[in-house]
Amino acid sequence: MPTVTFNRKDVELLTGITNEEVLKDRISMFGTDLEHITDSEICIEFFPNRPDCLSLYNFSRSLRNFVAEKPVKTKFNVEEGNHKVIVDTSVEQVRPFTACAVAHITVTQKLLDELIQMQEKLHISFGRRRKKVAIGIYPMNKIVFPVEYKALPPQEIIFRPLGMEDEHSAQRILELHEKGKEFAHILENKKVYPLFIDSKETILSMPPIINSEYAGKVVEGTKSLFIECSGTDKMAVNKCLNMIVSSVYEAGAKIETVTVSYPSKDEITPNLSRKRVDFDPKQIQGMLGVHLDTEKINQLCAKMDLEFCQDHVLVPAYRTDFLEGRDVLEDICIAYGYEHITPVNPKLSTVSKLLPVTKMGDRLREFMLGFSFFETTSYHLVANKMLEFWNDDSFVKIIDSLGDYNSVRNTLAVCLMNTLKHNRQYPYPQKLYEIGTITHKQGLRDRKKICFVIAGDGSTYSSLKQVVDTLNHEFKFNLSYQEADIKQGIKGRCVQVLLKNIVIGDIYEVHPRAIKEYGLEVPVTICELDLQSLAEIMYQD
Amino acid sequence: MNPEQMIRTLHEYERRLLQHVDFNTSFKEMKQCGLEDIQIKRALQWLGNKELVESVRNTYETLNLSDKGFEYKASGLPQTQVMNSLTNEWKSITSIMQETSLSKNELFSCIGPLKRGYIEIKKGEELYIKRGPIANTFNQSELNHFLQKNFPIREDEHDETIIKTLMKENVFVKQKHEVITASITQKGKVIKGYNLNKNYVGTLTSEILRNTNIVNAEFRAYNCLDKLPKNNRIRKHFVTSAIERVRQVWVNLGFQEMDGPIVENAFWDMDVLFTPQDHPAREMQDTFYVDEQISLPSWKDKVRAMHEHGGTTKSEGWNMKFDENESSKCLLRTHTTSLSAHALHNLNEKDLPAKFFTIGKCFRNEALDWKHLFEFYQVEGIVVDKNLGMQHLKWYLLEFYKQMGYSDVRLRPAYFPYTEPSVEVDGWHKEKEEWVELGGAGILRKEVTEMLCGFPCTVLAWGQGMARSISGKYNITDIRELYHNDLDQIQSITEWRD
Repeated sequence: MPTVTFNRKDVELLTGITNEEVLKDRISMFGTDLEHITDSEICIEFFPNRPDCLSLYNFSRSLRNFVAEKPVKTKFNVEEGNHKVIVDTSVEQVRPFTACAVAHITVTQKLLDELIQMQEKLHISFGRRRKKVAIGIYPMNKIVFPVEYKALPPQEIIFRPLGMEDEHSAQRILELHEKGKEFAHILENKKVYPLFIDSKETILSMPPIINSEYAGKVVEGTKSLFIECSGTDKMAVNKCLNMIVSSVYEAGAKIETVTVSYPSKDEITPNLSRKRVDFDPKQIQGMLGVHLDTEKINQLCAKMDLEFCQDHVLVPAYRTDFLEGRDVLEDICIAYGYEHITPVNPKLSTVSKLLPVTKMGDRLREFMLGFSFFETTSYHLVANKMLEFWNDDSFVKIIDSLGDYNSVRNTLAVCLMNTLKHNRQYPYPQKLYEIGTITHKQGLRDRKKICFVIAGDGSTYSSLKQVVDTLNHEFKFNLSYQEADIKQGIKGRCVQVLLKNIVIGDIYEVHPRAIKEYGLEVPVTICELDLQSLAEIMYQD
Repeated sequence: MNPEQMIRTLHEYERRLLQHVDFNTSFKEMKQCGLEDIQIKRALQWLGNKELVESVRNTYETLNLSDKGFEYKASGLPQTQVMNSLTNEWKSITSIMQETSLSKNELFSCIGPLKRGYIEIKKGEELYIKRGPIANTFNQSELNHFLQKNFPIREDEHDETIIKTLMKENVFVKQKHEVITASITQKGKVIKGYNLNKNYVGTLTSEILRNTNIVNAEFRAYNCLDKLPKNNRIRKHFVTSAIERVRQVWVNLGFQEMDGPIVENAFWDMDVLFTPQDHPAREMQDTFYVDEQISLPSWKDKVRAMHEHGGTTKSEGWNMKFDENESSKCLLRTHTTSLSAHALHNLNEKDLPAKFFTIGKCFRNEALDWKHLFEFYQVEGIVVDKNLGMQHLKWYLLEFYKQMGYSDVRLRPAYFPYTEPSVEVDGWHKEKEEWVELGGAGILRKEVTEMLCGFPCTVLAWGQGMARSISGKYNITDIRELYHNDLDQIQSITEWRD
């Protein structure tokens, strides 16, 4: 979730809230996550449902209404413009959609900074790192309309990208330019790259990579802006444009529409009319536990800039997070204030129940403590070479792990060996056990296991076998044993443990080669048992 | 404590020593009690603690002869030796060394001070020396005589300048001495007036029990309030204790435990929870994908429809083509909410109301550092019934966190893809004096319950990662210490307090 830093003075001026405690409290209770607040700045983390608030102006308007006694409904006066953007069929195979607008406003340094921050944050979040939506903002005076949105083979594209000295081919821009390198993967394997070109054949930009230096550089003093959003999702590019336009509108811009001329039909953007979302006000009582009259509902809706009309609400165009009626309910809850909801015990009578493995685990812990075994607990993820050394290569591997922990354990033995390795400085004998889940590659089955070891002089096969014998006797498991060869066991000192003729574990003295592999110098005996099998016997329903 | 009670607490050493302490009693006099030096010192300390005896320790230094000192005592100081061996004829260094017992170093360090007229020097194949013009005035007899004293001596009792001069010849070693004297206190005098030779039984042994008539014996009383050295016990891992503690809260509230696999496909971990397929958290850098395949269930089209256009609900859905390949990708579950998904899918309408919980490991593709783990425990619970609302969710959250030890809790709006409304739970941190995040909560979206249950119901859900609260409760600052498995740490950690 992106974090945005606003100038505190700006927020205070735009919202009218100057008290720090009130600011802190209201920002948190509005559904935005306050990171920190200082005398000069306010840093907020926005949840993905409110990308509109990544803009200072949108955020301030929403917060202002949220705290206002008499909120002001947002209304956008958009003038009909005569500019046209022609969408060529060639973009269909790369980034088929665009939505555009013209905004008249003199750009100050403050507005420029705000535009850059909003654009960048929208790119990361709502635009899915420009893959879904990319935004371009241009000074109007460099553009001769109509503008064409079309795609050309990369070898036919040459222009001077923003921030570079010379003209370069599209290929070179992807290789050389900072943004080219960062976003080249989006155009990977595309036969054509999209472009905005004006009627004088001047390249405005190559979305989603970079604007041109000539036509794509907004500076302090620029009087009018051409704004476009392009991407792979038509609804998303339109919503994105609406968020930007409603922000500059709030900053004082005059907005003009643009005709986006698709091959099949013309569309006028931006469309800032409110969206209808059906919703049953009777649900409010179920959701909040109180009855609200129409006046109160009207009032709460207004705080969120929603227009309440009996069986539906009209949602402002900058909001992107209304999928159905429940989303309206949430806004009403926020406006009502989570802090004002009175908790009610629903008095649901249910019976608690623990899993058999949980219950068995508890009993085995008590059992192991009786034999003075210490409990340790390790990561599920281990290095694959440890597992290969101990068993075989039949375990689940992680595709792209950041560290050495790149496989899911299929035995607890390696975890306990590792623990012994890290406790070499302490006196022996060391008696340890661990209860944990392992995963078999075959069928991707998880099994709960218990594993215990004795390390130190006197650690022999029989010392652990006695423990298992006691377990078998006390819990009446009816276990049996059979001699077996175990990869890291000493031949002739290994058994498999059977329950109803199925192998559920083993007991063995660890071979010196494995002891040395772990840097140990004491004898080690291991027992690992399938706790789940024991649990199933104990707690047959 | 009356005197007789006091006597009962005295150790045998104390009783024996006390009888030999009066006023300014020397250590030598104390030794008449028959104890070893070390035993006397311990007894003195114990008696001191009980304010029966006051002991004074004074330290002083003495000088004793060093090995060199003993050598020079016998054959004179080096300069004396050199002067004695010289004549008016030139004599080589080698022959002087042979005549005296001096080493080359000692010899050469004599030459410097003697050059001022006591000797003359000539350089040839080697150095030659003979008596100088004022050789007759050379006199070290006072110094040599001093070495004949009865050592060790007290430095402050002798001529300072002589000692200083001799120091330079390395003839002395300093020795530290301790003088212990003890005086009996008023309280001690009273005790001493009683019979201190009465026989008290010390440590009870089986031998005493077998061989003596002990039933009427007097026992020495212990100093039960004394500090003892630390001793650790065999115990469960503290993470286990924490889990048991949290589990008990769920059990108290009537929840039943859920189960589910660690290795899931994205379908169960994300798609059925209405996480859009292009959600950033699904990217490789956040999630552990594994090299396996799990096929999609027969009802996958219901999920496809929900994502693409909201399915049978009034929802718009994500307005995005549903990709089955994305859905079948295998991963290590990123949250325990996948277990809730399975539980809801297996639930029948007739089993309402129902409550489920789990405490399970989850995995995120993060590099290990002091505040990030790639796997961690998450606790999570759901309440399923008809017609539940925020007022009920709030009741459960307050009750749950109260039982977890957080009395001052607030709820604020948040966002999760699968809940609406969504809640962040904050707890007031008394020391930091600020709200800290405890966990997330919410009411499952209609899209989710429609996909998983298929019958109308409301599902309250909440959960949290446990690593932070465990480390908080156990005062652990580096989160990696949760899984250090250092035996000393596991033994010495203090218990969870509410």
